[in-house]
Amino acid sequence: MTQQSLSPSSQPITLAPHDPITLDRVRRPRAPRWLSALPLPLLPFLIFCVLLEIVPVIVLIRDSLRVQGLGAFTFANYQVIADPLFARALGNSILISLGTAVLGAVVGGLVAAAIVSGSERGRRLSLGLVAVTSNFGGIPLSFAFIALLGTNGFITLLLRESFGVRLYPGTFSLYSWTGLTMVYFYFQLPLMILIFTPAIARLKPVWREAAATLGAPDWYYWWRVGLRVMAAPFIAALALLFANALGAYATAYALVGGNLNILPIQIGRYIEGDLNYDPGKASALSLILAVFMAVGISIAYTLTQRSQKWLS
Amino acid sequence: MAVLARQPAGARRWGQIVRAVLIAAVVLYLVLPLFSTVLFSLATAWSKTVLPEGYTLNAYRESFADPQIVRGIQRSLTATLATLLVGLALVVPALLYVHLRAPHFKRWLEFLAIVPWALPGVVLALAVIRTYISPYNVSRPAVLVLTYTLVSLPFMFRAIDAALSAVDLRTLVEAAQTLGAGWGEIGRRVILPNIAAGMLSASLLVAALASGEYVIARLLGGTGWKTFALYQAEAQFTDGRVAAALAVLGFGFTWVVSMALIAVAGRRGQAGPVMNK
Amino acid sequence: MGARLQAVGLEKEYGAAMAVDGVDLDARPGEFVSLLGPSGCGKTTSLRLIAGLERPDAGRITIDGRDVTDVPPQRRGLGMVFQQYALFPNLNAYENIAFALRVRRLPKAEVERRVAELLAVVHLEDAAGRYPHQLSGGMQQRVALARALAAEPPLLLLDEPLSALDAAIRDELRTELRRLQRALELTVIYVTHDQAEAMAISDRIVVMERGKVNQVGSPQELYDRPATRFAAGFIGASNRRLTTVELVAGHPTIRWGDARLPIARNGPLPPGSTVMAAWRPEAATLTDAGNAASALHGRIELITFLGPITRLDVRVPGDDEPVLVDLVSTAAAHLQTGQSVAVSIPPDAIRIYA
Repeated sequence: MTQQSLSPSSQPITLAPHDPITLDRVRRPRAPRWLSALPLPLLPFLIFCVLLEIVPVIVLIRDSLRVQGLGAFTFANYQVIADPLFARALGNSILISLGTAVLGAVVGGLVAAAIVSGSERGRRLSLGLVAVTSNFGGIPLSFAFIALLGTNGFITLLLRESFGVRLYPGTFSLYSWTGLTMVYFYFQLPLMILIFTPAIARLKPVWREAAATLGAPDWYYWWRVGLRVMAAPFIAALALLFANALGAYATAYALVGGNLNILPIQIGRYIEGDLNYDPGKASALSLILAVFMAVGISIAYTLTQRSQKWLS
Repeated sequence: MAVLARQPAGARRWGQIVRAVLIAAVVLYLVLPLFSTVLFSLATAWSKTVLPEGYTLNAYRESFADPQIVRGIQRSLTATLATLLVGLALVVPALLYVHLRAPHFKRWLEFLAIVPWALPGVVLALAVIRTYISPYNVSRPAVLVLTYTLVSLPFMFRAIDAALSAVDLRTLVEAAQTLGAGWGEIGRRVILPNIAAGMLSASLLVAALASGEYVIARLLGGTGWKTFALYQAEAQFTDGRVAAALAVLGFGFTWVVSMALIAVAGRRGQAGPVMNK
Repeated sequence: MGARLQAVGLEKEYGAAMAVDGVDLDARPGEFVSLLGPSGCGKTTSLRLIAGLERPDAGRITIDGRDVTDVPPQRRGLGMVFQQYALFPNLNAYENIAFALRVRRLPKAEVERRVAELLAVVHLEDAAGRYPHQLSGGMQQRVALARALAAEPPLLLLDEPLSALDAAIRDELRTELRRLQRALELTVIYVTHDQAEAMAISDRIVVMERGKVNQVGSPQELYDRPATRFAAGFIGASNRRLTTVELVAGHPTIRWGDARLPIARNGPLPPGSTVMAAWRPEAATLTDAGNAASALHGRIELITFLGPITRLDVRVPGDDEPVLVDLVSTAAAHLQTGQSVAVSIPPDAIRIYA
């Protein structure tokens, strides 16, 4: 126990040392220094987190509380959210994130249920497609929708040339909230399917059978058990989808430039120099956005932990 | 699903139809934009007909002939690879230590690793810029890579943690020790095989995330160090065909990475999607 | 009072295989019947057919004379306990037990009274508010039992209810289950692959093999007179060999290694026929090595102390595996490994299967 007693966190790694037989037989490997001494392996990780996570967040908070250029303490930067432009940007961001989250969660939830009840082969195929598309996003995704539904998009042309239906101008525009919703929906849907399918798959058929032998009709089982068991993972997924959309920048930027007023793009404007450069306001807006996003992620995280306890 | 068998056959048939229609609609929704993009990238002229009037590879030829775009691709791949290496170098030793020696630390590390997940890319970019870019003239590509590492930390951490949690590494290592294995051998024959799949899926996740990332690249790399995604965005406002070709390239890369991810994850639990919108 | 359950000619096909192939059952009111067999023998499927969770391809099921073959599980009025507890994870122990009562819209006071009663019956008064994930496996299964009993079903089905539990809890719960069944005069159909469990708990055991009923009988009958090779091999420990019958001086004998053992003359045993011979380890006695001509002479290879009895592995010349001999421990105290012994087996203790 000589060396090990020096570091309390290290567990004895061999059999009891006073046992002469094991000492002779087992060549006792000593952990290399880097492993047995201080928690050296943790250091790079911790230093990184301090330098790139903690310090920048502190700087962000400090910036948000300082008068631009002067360094005096102020809450004024946060008053920017009272400005109708930014208030609306926040409102729009929350609205489209929540809207596409609900849409994605409901449709994705149904699709997940359909996938689970289908055949094994269909399940693997559709989950494969979903897993791939869930990684699509940003610039190319927006362009894909332009190629599909833009003024010269595939469906636009198909409707015009084959059916005489003109989407543009007037009937429909991809470069609008509707269009943005469609593109957001594209990345929300696979994400929902991907995280919700395992949750549904963990809904044990034996619960339904138990309910049946206890005299409960199917609807009663779903009402008292099935839906409630699914509620936690569903809300968790919903919160995750919300957070997922809230921080989205590239998709909206590529689709409409700055024409639709959402918060990430407004923050970007404040950072990108030219006339508007104002780190104080940008930081204040960032922290406001981060709070909403953190709420979403926390809900998702907590509920997931809980439902894992239930469903394990 | 034996309880289902009690439903009348008609209801079951309807259920199957609804299910099939739903899945077909979703597949169409997911595939059609990609299909149009491919078509668009191959079209000679396409504005008055349902399908393109002719097909050509010109857009791809132009893209690869453009030294800027090629450099953008190189930069994106470099940044991705560097992110990967830095991330692995940070996370693997830390998680190995925690799993082997100090399980009680894991909660704290996990918290630190999860935090970037709750911060939008634009916010992370701002925080890093304010901390490291304006006052000092440090290398922007290096800061970009470190920021990507930060963004990918949650995915990296969880993928490798999942691989390590799936086996009782501590017992395995102790067993190897009682059999007289040295640390070199334990690393090669016990730890590596158990962590390899986790490292691979973590790497693929990072690749999917970093290769097409836009907002951080734009705000951090700026005009001096344009990545592929920035050229993609530019092309969209200049040349639609090239933009389509670049989008197809981006999708293609993601597709390959995702398929590899599925192949790896298929053997080891579920692969989470990245969030890079 | 329990119900009478009858099943006639049950059949169920899965893919190409017959999971249940013509099973008949008849459980009298208040009887504890076990379906016993190895995995895949069709016992669980039979139980699910009785519960109504599966539809039989052929055959009828009646409960107290009422044909329930086409009745959904909800209206069969039985209770069921599953191997993996199947407690509703979002409901605490109290609400799990109350489930069937709430389905039936019983008045609140009645539900409270009944659940309190059941919690007392399964000794879980203090766990009413706990959720399934906060309960141990044994506690979960108690809740599941109480839940299944809540609506006072006359027929209780149990699908390997104890096999996921630790040995000590298994024995305790088994005893409680038996006591409860007696007190409530329930009819119980109990599925298990554990022959010792089935022996300990059942009034009657139905041995199943490959979708068919192999033998039905009381535990004692099955142990003393297994009717088939399968039953002989499945129930209790026994020494079994494939061998041939030979007549020696007009008396039937069998070969056992290099030795020859006399057997009782029960039934037609054509000399030269190949049969399976089986005898229980506790049927044998040790005799003095010198003077028993019709005994197995061998050497003790292993002595295993099992408490009241001691088991010997005796290696007999010409035999592939050691024979097992169980002795009362006091009688085995002087024995040592390597010692030569003669094992004698009463002729009527050797059972012969064609």
